[in-house]
Amino acid sequence: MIRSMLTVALMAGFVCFASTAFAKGDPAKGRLEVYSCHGCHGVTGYESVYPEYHVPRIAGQNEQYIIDALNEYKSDARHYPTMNAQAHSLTEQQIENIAAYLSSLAPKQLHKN
Amino acid sequence: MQQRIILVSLAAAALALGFGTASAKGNAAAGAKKAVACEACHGKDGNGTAPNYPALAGQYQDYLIEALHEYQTNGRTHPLVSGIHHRDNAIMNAMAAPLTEQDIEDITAYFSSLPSKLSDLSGKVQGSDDGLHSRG
Repeated sequence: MIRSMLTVALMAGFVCFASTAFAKGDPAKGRLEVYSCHGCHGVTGYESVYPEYHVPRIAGQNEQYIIDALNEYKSDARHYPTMNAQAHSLTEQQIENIAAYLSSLAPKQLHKN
Repeated sequence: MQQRIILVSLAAAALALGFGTASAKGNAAAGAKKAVACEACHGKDGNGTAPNYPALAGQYQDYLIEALHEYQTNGRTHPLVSGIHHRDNAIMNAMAAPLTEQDIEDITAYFSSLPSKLSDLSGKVQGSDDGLHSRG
């Protein structure tokens, strides 16, 4: 019993930690800053020219993943010229704002794409 | 002559059918069984177990295939990836390395078929109509 209470308390602690550790961006500012993403990520079914595949859906994506992905483009750990150029133009604060906004777009109910 | 026309139109129909089905690659049911290792981080529902793991559920399948190919490159060349594109990420490089093309097609077919929270940015940018009000 005590053990399970401890587990629950630990889990709750983790959730608190996780939510504060990841929430730094301002989604209202992010909404303005995603303007430059819109040209490719805003068009349903839009495909990159070469190689041909769909540009990913990013609205609703998880917050810290967006931050990590943009930083990987910035450091060239991910190499894709269009995204490298975009990421280089962003400050750390802008990246966090964009991630906060994009993750805030996740709907309450899942849908079929 | 007439026979030849019939043959040509049959061939055209077969070709059209072929292209039609080619866009849906892989077998989602087979992918569900192969996706167990992915689920530790990406979740059983494919939406990520923590905010640093991306949601894969309902993502475009061809993007997921491209991402796995780029993780497979890991500094090498890949026959299916333009040489300039790659991703270096210790975990995903290791996860992607042993996958066959069939594995990749099956796993991505599975995740792209799952109920999704992802959408494109259409109508969600300041200045375009709608924005915050259209969501779920």
